[in-house]
Amino acid sequence: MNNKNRSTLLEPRISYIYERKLRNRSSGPYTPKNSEEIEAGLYRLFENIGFTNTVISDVGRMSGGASKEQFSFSLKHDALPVAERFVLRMDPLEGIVETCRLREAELIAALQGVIPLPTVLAVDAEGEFLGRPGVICSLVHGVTAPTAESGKGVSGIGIGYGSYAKKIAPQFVELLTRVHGWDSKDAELPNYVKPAEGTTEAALYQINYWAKAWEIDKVEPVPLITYTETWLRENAPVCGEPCMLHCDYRIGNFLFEEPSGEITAILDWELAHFGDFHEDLAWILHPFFGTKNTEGEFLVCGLLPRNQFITEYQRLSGRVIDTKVLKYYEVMNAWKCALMGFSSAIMAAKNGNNHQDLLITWLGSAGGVHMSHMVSLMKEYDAMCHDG
Amino acid sequence: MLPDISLRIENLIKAMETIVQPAVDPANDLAQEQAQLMIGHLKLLNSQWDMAYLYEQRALEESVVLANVLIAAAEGGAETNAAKEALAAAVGAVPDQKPHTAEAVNRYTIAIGEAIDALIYACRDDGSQNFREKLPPIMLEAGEKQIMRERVWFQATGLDPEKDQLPSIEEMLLNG
Repeated sequence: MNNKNRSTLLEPRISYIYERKLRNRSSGPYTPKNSEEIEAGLYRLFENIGFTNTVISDVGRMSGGASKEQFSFSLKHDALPVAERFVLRMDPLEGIVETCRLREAELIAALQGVIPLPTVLAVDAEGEFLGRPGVICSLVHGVTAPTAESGKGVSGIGIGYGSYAKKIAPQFVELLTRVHGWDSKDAELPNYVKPAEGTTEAALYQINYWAKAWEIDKVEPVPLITYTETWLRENAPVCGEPCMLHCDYRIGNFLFEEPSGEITAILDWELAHFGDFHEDLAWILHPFFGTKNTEGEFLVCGLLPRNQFITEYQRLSGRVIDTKVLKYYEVMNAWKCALMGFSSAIMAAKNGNNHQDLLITWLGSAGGVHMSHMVSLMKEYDAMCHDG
Repeated sequence: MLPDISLRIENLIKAMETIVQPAVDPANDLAQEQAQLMIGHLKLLNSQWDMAYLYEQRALEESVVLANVLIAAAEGGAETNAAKEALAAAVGAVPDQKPHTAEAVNRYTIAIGEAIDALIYACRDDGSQNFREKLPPIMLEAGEKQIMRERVWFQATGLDPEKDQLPSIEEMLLNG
């Protein structure tokens, strides 16, 4: 493997979790955890925290969550005499993407009060008690899709919001601007690194994160993936002011109430990092996450037309979208989607190290679709450059 | 071959759809989804298995074409020249008489792909300006062929938003 071209700019915690993944890879195959195993792990964790007279009940697997095992359970102990429901998000041995539960817990705690979120009860960063790294949060009421649509699509992709779209869309955009506008200077985020302002670091940190995944999980060479990596490095834009990004802000990753349509929680912060706001927008605009309404009009994340999304985002955030930078990040996101499908998904399944090997190879088969999108976007970017 | 491979896969699908899936606890979402995915994968396999060797042959042919175009275009410093020579060696290792299994054919595609990757990195390090300018259209043109092959091959998953506009696997591999 020729590493000479690969920059070393990688967040230390990310570097650590990749090393940990490689160390643990051979300990598979991984089998989905059952309720008894989860319950035993939770008792170990809560005892360590210092809860007394702990009672855990009604442990049940939650649907959704293509990358993590998720369970809900009831908990009471001396300091919590009335049982409440919580959610455990736990890493399989390998998955479609390698992320960190400690970072996720840090960020959810730091963002309390900024946007609707679950609260963090506990984190087992190394899986010392649960067997695998996990984070436990409060169970927030709400649904990811209108009840009439529930069960459709994988990981929420492909669902439509119907009449709820008009209620949800304004909140969806406004909450995003709150994340991007969040002043993090006093936040405790020891496992995050903020790229330097006015440099290309924002893009390079992300290229390196995904290039590292490709390096360690590549099953077969795909020269177009390698070529695009070099293209992204050569065209990396300067980011004036890095901000917090969710990076999987889309359909299926938020909860809302029925019938009000009020968003009750933004979920799945595993990919969050400091970067260029265009990166988040490019992900949200990805056609894979959109649907068409009954008139055949394409809706971003099944919620609102593209132009309306862009106009509203600019109006609410006060930011000006640079269409060339947006296009750059659309290329990067298509590259990420293709890359994770061709590498980590297949590697995890090949090693039998995921709880849903069948699902991730199914998703991995969309690599060609993502590459097709990626090539179209690169051509559009080049055309924008030539047009000045 | 009796019973043949398609028949056995069809038997598996029928057993899953009519016996196993209805017996799965409706409250067990994971098991329900896994059963549905098993059926999906079996249908996909049944649309592919008979063409797998031709698929890998086509992939190798396209890799050799791309490699030869790159070899003709590559110029630059020591790294580029070394990578170019390694790629030529990988292409030269492909026998006139191709191996008889899909996996064995794919091994040559992989070896060429690794050498192309190395040349792409080398081009960035010390490729001539001329090579740097030629590389993008070469890679995108070859990439589009690979993309079409992948999309057609996996169209039965239904994940491709333009699946209705794609040719069939047979049309692509036998006529295309």
